[in-house]
Amino acid sequence: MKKALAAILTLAMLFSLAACSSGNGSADEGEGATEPRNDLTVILSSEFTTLDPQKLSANASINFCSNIFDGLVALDEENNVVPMLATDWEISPDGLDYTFHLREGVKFHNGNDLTAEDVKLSVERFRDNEWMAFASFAVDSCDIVDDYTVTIHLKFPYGNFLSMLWYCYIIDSDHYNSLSEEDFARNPVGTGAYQFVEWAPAQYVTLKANPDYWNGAPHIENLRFNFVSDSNTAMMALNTGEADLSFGVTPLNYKQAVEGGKLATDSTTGNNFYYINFNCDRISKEVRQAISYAIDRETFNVVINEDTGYLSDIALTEGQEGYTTDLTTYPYDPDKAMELLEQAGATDLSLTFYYDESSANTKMAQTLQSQLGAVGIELILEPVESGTWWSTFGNGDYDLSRSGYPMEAANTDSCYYDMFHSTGSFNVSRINNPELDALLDEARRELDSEKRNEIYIQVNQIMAEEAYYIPLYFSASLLVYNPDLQGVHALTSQNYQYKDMHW
Amino acid sequence: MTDEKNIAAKPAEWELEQDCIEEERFAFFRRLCENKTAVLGLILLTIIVGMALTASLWIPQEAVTTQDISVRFVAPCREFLFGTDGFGRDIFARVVYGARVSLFIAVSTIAISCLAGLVLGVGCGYLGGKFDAIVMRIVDVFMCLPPLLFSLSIVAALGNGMWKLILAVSITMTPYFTRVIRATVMSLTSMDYIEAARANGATHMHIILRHIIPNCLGPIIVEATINLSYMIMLAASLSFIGMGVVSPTPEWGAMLSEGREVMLDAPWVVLAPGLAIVITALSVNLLGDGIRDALDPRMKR
Repeated sequence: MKKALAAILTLAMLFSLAACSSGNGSADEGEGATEPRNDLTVILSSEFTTLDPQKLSANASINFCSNIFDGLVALDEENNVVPMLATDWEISPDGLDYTFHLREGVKFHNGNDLTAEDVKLSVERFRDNEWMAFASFAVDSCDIVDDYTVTIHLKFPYGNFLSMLWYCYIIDSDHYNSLSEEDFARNPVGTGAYQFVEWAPAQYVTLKANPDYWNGAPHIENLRFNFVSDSNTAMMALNTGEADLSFGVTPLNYKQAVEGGKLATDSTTGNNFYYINFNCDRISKEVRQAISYAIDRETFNVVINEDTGYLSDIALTEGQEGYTTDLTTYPYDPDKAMELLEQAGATDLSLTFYYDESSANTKMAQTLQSQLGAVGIELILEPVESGTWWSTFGNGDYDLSRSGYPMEAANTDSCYYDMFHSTGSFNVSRINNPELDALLDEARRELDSEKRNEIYIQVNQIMAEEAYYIPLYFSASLLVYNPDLQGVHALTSQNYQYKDMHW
Repeated sequence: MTDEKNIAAKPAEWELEQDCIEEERFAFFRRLCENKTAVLGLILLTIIVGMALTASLWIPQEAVTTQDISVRFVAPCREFLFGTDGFGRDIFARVVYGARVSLFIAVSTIAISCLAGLVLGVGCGYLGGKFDAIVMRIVDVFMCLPPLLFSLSIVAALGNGMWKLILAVSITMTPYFTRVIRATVMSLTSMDYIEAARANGATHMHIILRHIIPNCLGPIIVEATINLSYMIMLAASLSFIGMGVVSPTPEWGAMLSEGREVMLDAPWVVLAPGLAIVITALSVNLLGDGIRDALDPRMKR
């Protein structure tokens, strides 16, 4: 009897809770109809470890911080370099010195003026922090010319320098000097459209509009970023109106949102390139080519991305330096794969596949296992947590693995050098090809874009012929948002600017 | 004369003893069969074990891993009894073959931890003294750690794989068995018949093997069956969070984890392995309770 009563009470409580939450939702909608909202709740799928703009380790936090900080320059949506805190600049004839003229009258959120002193400190921190080496490797030093002019000296003439300079956010030197490194990482002060309010680790970050923003005040007053790592939970929050925007939902959830029709959706090509990489120290060219024929990329795209990804034979998109269709491709042909394996004398192969455990990677592993199984290769799966995965890359103890790389929209050099040069920090295929190294070195120092293009085409042809990795796809950049929100569309870089959004 | 008497008396005594044992066994089964829920558990478990053992006779092994993206997320139908998952694999085949994995893990972990627990427990209970003190303090420390967390850290240290999972769970469970067996052995060592055996000059080995271990079996069987369902769930939990059994081996916990993200669109992907875990654990629990009641001398009528 008591149990029955308890059960009824529990049910009653559940229903009343459900009623409460739906009641809140409708109240919000009612308010929205009468006067425009001035707040926006965004879901971020991963938490940051720091808000120190020169120590940001992930794209997500780099993009987030572009709302608090400005760089000297920025990339527009067509990937052109446009002025930000620098109004214009001169490049010395030898390509080594860049002189920037700063925008005058720009103030940091704490009221301090932007001066050359701040830029010098920012550039030096940008250069010295290991995290930023992928963008700052060419920087040698920074000199103050006058209060509103600085010169950045490069170690070597680097044609792509400006396209990487947006990663260098400008910080306030007085603010930096008054705080310990630790406090500085938790109290970002920039010149951006939004100023930092509060950060509750693992829960949320709040920002408020900077009314004095030099480039026009933002429309929406209060921003709140909730950390929700689970995509299903994020979808639920979007559906109940608890959150307004998310660009981190899984393809499956995206499909649900499109079919559901209640939420607005948008998608475009993303900049994350995914591939299966060989350990070239262990696997010969013949076997690599054979395995490449055994892979049906379409299946990977369907199983992992619900067919939202963009298949690609090359780690570049059309229009980038080095993009070409004139290269060796490996269409799905299991019979040919088996034939090649036999020719290479590699029957009864047993290989290991290392990957960091995640839903998408588990799907990839199982699909790969099944496809290689079909050509008689036994694939042993070695799922590890991501820390172990990284150290395994270091010591090369794997046959195959998978990786994703956030490609630069306007710079082939930085990614290619990182991924494919024998000294690159992300050379997960363990490529060691002197010819390739020479070409990449040459391209890095080549100032003429046309010539660089030709070198990278050559690089791509060599890599495709050698089958150093199996290109899969560019993931899609998916966006799910409240249909009342205006001025928003999916971006390849996912570098969303909340300043332009309004209700 | 005395020899003759002994020879004459022995068969009669022996028969009487046999009768007693037989009656005892019979009584155990009778009591077990009177317990309707235990019988239900036994029937369910028999069906599950039967299906698992005969799986390869009526479902081809390939059906477990064959992927076909043209039949992704098919709802349960005649061709696919439990539907298909995101790879287009037949969930029914995976659940049935998964029973082999789950039951194998559960039974072997119980066997290993029982054996280890028996050695340690008998050692502690019979020898006592410093050995007992040291082992029991270690056991105490082990038992302070939540079982899931403890086995998780062992798997994390050892790496993935079914045998490593079995080893990890066995290590986690050994202290529990050691405790129960030690307590039983301690109560037995003070019994009169042990004293008598000792007075007759029986060796320690003889006493342990002939008198102590046989009398421990009751509690061990009860502890083992009751823990069996816990083993099934612990193994499933570890696989759920990606520790333990590695693909393509179908494991219920791993299947649940894979189906989690499509739970709303294709509920059968989680429903089938979820129900399999629940039904198996339930049947083992019912049977375990039944065995405990049947073996409990206080329940004798």
